[in-house]
Amino acid sequence: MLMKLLKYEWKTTARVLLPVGAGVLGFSLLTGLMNLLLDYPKLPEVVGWLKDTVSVLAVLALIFVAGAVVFVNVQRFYRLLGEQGYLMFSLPVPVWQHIAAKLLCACVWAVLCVPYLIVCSSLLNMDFTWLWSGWSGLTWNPWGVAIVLQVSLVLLAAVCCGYLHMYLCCAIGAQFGQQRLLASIVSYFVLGFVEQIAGTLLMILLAVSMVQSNAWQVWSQALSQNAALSSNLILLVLLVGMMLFSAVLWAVTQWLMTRRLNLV
Amino acid sequence: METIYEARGLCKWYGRKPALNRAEFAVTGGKLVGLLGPNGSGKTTLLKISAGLLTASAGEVLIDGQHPGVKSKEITSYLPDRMALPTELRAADAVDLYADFFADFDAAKARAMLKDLHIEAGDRIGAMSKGTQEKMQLCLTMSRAAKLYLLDEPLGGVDPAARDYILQTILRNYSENAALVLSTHLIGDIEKVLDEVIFLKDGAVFRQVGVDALREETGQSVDAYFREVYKC
Repeated sequence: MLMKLLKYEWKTTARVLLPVGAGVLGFSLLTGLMNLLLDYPKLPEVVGWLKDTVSVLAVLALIFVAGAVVFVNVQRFYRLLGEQGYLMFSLPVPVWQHIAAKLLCACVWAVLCVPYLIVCSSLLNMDFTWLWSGWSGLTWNPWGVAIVLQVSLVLLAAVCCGYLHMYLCCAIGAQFGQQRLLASIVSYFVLGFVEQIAGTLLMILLAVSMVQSNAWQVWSQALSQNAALSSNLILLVLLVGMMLFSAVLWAVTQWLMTRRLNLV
Repeated sequence: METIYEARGLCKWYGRKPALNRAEFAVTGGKLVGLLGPNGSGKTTLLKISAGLLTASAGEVLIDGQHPGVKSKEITSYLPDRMALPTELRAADAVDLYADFFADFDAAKARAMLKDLHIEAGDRIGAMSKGTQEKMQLCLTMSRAAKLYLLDEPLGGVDPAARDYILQTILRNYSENAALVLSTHLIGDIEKVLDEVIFLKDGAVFRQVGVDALREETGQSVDAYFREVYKC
């Protein structure tokens, strides 16, 4: 059933995002061509002004695409807790699969956004030299590969955390009979504030306990002896922490959707 | 016929207000049951709990011996009292969605019913009129060979001709051994097709009785009895 849900999620989000993406890609291409053709030192002032304005608009369009990806995926979840929930929750599918399908689809779009923005940026500048020259300076070593992989996983975990945070806010907003959107937005900021306070307190607690237990001196020595290993360990701790946090956000969201479902 | 749908001591509170107050009833297979009651008597709440869209505060609902969940949803076909189909879908997409998720869904029957309604496969649901959307939703619901059909106000908000169409669609397409429970205010239109009626009053089952038995006992139609019981 999860694959079927994913299929519908993908189709529904692609229906909106593919045309938007194609449009902005085309606009980036045209802007890049325009910049290439009008690359003269002595341009009439108005032409130069227009050229710069179009370039700025093209950059804004890229930001818009990134925002649209987030908006569409969060809106899909918000609608699940509205009238569409009368159909979706009557499907013989456990609640966790609804959350999983939407989160997976959102993460795929977030990952696809990266090469898309790189391609659009290259089109804007009409510069694709990075394709063959960008890799020549790199030296491959196991620690470096591990760090790159871990950074990628941490970024993916951060995306998951971000979406699950918004899903939880939607689920909290859905508890209200009226002004659900407002309640969701308010809970986004309140929850964010609480998370920041809790995160800061945890960091302070961790730092104080490390100093008191002399762990900081041990850590500094390890860092100076093997920076790569220490960096990997830090990233691993960060990854595990984010996964745990995501699990808590998921669990609370699922509980609200199972025991406190309130479709209006 | 075995009991396919029952409620035992079912309660639901919204804050301090009880929407359902120890509702108890049992419905056997093959029966067409009317769930009747005034506004606020708990009909929609009862059907939502049974469809797994709401959690009861106390008591239980059993569908073929199971509590509402993934297994009960496989055998229960639920029609909500509002438009729930995603409006961005086309008619063919909605048929495919039902076919994908419900093993008992008959896609050919659904397409035939939609053709009768002059709905093309490529028509966008959002562009259809309200009445057409509701009819389409009903057709998809009745295209399932479910053991239990729960229809929440299927006749509400449509014109008299459409009501006849909806009634005929329900009668022609529901599985004979299945139980069908529908809630409505428009008793006069459906009275002639009902086997039993369940009257809800203040969240509790006031009475569950066969339609013929009620008529013999009171000498009144179900509609007239309803007006007498729920007189303001």
